[in-house]
Amino acid sequence: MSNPDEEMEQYLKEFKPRAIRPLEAEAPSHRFRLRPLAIAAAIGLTAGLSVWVSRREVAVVPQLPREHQAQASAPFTERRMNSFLLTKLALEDNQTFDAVLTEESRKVLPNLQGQGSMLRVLAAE
Amino acid sequence: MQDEKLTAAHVKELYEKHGAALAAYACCCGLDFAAAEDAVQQIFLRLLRGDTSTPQVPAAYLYRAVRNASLNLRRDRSRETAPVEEETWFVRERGAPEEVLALQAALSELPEEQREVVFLRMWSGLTLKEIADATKMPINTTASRYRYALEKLRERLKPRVAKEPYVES
Repeated sequence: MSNPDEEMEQYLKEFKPRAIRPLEAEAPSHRFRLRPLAIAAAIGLTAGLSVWVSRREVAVVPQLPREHQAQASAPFTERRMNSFLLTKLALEDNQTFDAVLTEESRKVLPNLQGQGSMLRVLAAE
Repeated sequence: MQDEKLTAAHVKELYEKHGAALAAYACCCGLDFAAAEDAVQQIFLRLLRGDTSTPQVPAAYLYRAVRNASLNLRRDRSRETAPVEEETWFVRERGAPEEVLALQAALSELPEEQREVVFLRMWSGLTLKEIADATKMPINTTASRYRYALEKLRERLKPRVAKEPYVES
């Protein structure tokens, strides 16, 4: 290399790039390795919880006391009714099933008995 | 040339060796120093995570990555803030600060391929043969680019170079 080039190189060597902050290697690779494990754990926990809840609801149904059908149906109907539970109840315990339907119908259908019944109101009119 | 995944120790070693020069290079591509640091950090963190593989001579890859990142960042930020005019990304033990600014301006004006060769040679310590291999260019082309770059720098900085001849310490 020619002399002027060497001179220029020597001049450039006097300049150093400004220092930069250290590499922030706060183990991102470690964090990325843990992420799939955390996702798998969350999925497992959700699946386990849902299985446990559904089994718990099914297990409660046959334990309804037959002699207090009307009273016993109240806590049952407080839970969210679903077709699976109703079908199971209809197959296993007809009397309780009838009581549950009666209880539910009172909430939905117009009241035809008692002081404020619809019939009395119509008759008064 | 076969690509390879780098070990964490190797990545850190590369950062120690080339990080500062890469940040200066990013500044020459139009970034302010803070953004240049961020860009260099991101590239090395990607290497640490093993997201990318690099050639056996990774310096040229790093310069290309920094250049691309700088161009993208500059495009994204062009509407936000103007670059800091008087910011320095080189230091010099002696001499006036204006000389640093003059060198930075001269480097920024070089054509991209010449600037890359100068940085690889001067501040990353590669030989012209290594640069040629890493950039997949013929050695003659690499040497020409380097010589043209020095010529342009000398033109721009001539009065300063002549005024202060370098004395080996």
